[in-house]
Amino acid sequence: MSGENTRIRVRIGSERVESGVPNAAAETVPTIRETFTPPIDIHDGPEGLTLEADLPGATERDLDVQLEDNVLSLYARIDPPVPEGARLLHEEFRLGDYQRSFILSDEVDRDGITAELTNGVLRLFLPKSDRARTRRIEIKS
Amino acid sequence: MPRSSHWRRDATSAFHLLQHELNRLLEEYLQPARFGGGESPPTDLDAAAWSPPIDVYETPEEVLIVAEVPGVDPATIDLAVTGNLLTLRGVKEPGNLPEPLLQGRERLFGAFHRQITLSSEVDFDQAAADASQGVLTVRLPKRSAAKPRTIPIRPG
Repeated sequence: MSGENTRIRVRIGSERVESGVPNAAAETVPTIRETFTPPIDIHDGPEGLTLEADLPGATERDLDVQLEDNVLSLYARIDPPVPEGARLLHEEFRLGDYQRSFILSDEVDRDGITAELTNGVLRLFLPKSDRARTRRIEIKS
Repeated sequence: MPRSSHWRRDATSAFHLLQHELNRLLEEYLQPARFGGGESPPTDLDAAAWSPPIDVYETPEEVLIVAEVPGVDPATIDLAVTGNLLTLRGVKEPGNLPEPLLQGRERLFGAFHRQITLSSEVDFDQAAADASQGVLTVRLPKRSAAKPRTIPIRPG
């Protein structure tokens, strides 16, 4: 599934999360949370797809990434950065969670998926499965 | 159950990009605008560059400034105060992935320079800043005179 060095849990298929493992998206929250679409850069290389998403405020613990049926979904639950009851004086961005889904056109080698979260940027690498790679065909003369 | 995928086998990366763009446009249409509040962040630099959006809050004890700085190395952020003016400078660097492979570019990058004027009710000498997970939080305690205080009323 995910590599040894990945602390972000990437769920494959519709597997249920075992009890004790935090799952941001499935958690019941008492209040309705606003969700926003994070900007994401996509790099399509010969080895696989790399996604970079701006998710300021996201933590590994509250980030949920799922790959099911070639649909990649991510959900980041964001804690407010200020104490409850703080009065808003000037607003340029709204607080809320991040959510985004993609349909992937290539098959992914699930064992090779890596995910890292640094300074609020999620970098996800989805290697193409062998079947999806382009193979060179030797032309013999 | 598996989705019919006869079209996917023929999909080129251009098709994937189209699908992706349609998904994104639809999501943006269905979701409320996130950046607003009637005021766009002022920038001293070119309009296409990125600038961190900033919210300002207050509690009875302090003023809090929250800036979203994803992808910015906290060590490179320059936070300074001159008089009542707080300045925030830094650079949001793009990754090192090769440009020709870029299928979708939505994130913005570049140098930023924000200025925030604060009232003198805060004690700048006691300012404390923290940057983690791509969010910069600056806490400015209010001077005692500015904190709300109750005045006891002696029964006459």
